[in-house]
Amino acid sequence: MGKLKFTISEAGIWAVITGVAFGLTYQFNEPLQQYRYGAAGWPRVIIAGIALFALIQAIWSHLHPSRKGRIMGQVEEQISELPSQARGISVHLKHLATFAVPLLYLFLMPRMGFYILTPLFVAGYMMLLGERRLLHLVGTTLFVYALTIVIFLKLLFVPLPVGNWPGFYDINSLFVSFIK
Amino acid sequence: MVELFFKGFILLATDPFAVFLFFAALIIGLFFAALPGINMVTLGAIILPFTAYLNPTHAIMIYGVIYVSGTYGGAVMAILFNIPGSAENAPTAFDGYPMTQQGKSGKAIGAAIVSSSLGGMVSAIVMMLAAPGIARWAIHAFGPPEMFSLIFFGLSIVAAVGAENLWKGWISVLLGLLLATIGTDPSGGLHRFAFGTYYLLAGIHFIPLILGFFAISEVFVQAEKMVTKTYRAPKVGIAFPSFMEFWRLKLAIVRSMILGFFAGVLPGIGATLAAFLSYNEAVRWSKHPERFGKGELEGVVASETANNAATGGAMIPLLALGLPGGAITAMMVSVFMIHGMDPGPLIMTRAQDLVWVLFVAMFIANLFIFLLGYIETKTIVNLLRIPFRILSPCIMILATVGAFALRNSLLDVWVMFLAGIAGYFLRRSGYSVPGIILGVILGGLGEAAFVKSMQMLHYDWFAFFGRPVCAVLLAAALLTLFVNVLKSAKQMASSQV
Repeated sequence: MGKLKFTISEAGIWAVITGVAFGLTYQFNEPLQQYRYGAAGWPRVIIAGIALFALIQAIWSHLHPSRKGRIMGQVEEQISELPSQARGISVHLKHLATFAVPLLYLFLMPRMGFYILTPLFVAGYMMLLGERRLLHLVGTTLFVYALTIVIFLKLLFVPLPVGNWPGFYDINSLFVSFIK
Repeated sequence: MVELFFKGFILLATDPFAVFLFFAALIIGLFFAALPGINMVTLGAIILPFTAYLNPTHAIMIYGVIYVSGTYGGAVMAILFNIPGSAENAPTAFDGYPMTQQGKSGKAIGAAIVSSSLGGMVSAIVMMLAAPGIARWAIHAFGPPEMFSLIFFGLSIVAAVGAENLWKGWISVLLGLLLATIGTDPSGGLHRFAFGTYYLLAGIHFIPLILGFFAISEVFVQAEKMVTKTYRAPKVGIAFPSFMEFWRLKLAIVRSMILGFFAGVLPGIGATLAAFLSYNEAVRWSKHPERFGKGELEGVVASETANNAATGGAMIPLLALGLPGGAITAMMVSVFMIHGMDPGPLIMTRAQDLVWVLFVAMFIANLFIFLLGYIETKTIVNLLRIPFRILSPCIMILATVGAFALRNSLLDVWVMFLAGIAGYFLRRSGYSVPGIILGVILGGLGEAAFVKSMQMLHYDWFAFFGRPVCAVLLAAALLTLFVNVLKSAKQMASSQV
């Protein structure tokens, strides 16, 4: 993406965020007897601040295109663009999947239950990242699964989701009662 | 004082059950703090009901030891995987993680151990010497206007470090402040940005945000490298920093101890702001500020000395005035109440044995961090030998369950994943993730302090400058802002020549 295009989209995103947030402040912009500025005063100052700094940033970025500042805790390669040969369609899809698979896992968790879904997710995500050795796939999945269950179910008594789709709820509940 | 110290030591050392509890709290505190999403606060909450079965000295001692070991323990994951165990370890990741990527993980962890241990021990000594005096001063000198001024000063500093430029730093901090407004407003109890769902009425908890912005976004960054075949595994380094390396940083260590201790005394501010302030001062005083954020040992030392020095400071208002400054100290108040005791000025005389066992236990816990940490340096860095494609789902699962366990709500897990995706893009665009986190943590406190200040000062903004502490802090904040704007303008001018 060109620098100018990036600057415009970045400024546009902040404009949308601040615009929507400012609009939402009218939902709680009621006068308060005990506080003159009301519940909307503080968020509005913050929103105005974001809009102001985003505007300055856009101007800065336009006037100052070549310089790359320091970003704490990130090494150079992390913030640089990736090499072009790394960008095929399958790579793009895989990259997209690195975000989509965890979201799908989270979407399915209250439906299929933590106990059935988690081993599938762990093995699936490892495969997505290139792990093909069966021993590593099975071993890691079992290890993470056992560790999570020991710490969170046995020790901390966390009521992890057991699902609500027919069948899944029963299997998850059976598993929980077996473990407990 | 020496007599009381030895009395406390003998009481602790001659009670086998107390010794057992001491070591259990030390090791479990270190372990819990190193797990993403689970920290010393979770551990403290879990064991709270069981403290009813212990005597009050044992119960309070456990919390003191957990506080010390947990504050250090969070640094390990921050250094190895860019996943701070808690907010106070966030600045440790600034330089600790780049050091890991350069194969200096042993040095970074070694520096964290020594500086945490030193910071904690010195603050424990000051705590023993000066608890009542300092507490009285801090509580009288720090009302809501001073608290607001301190938070404003802290945020003005944080905005200047961590982002690609000053403007992005400020946007990051303000975004954090905006996220902190979600929930119920502190003045009238009105619902803000809650979208009609009761899940958001209590606001967004900062733990899922920390997990998302640090742990999950780091997984996404590394996963991208794996699918594009550009991933390079970090080298494993087990070399411990030399004495001379620490000696060169003596001023930074002393400065961070002082900053950490005094920040720890202030309710609600504590270790997190201490670590950020100390990190910023290290950058400001350094002859080579350009090295920070790229693997500078001083960055790790400044942050870790300050956050552990804050643990001793936090005990002062608790024991001398009965005022907790954070979650762990609030749990300690609960322990006192469970046992029918009133924490406050009288506790120092009525329960002298308890107080001195606590002081001694915290001092010795800091000493043991050094010993255990040395062993840890030689062992835990080997986690880096595990391929990231195997580690990443483990991190995700632990983070998922950790976020869920906080309030048994999947909404927290959604918040974590969305923060992870946002964090991935914000980091790539040069925004400061720690700035957002500190904005979220201090936002609620800052607004509450501002509301109370305005009511106290009858909406007279200039009255802030009539209070000496406020005037100094606000002047320092405005000066910081002015200097940074000036620096940015110079940078812009030089790039156009």
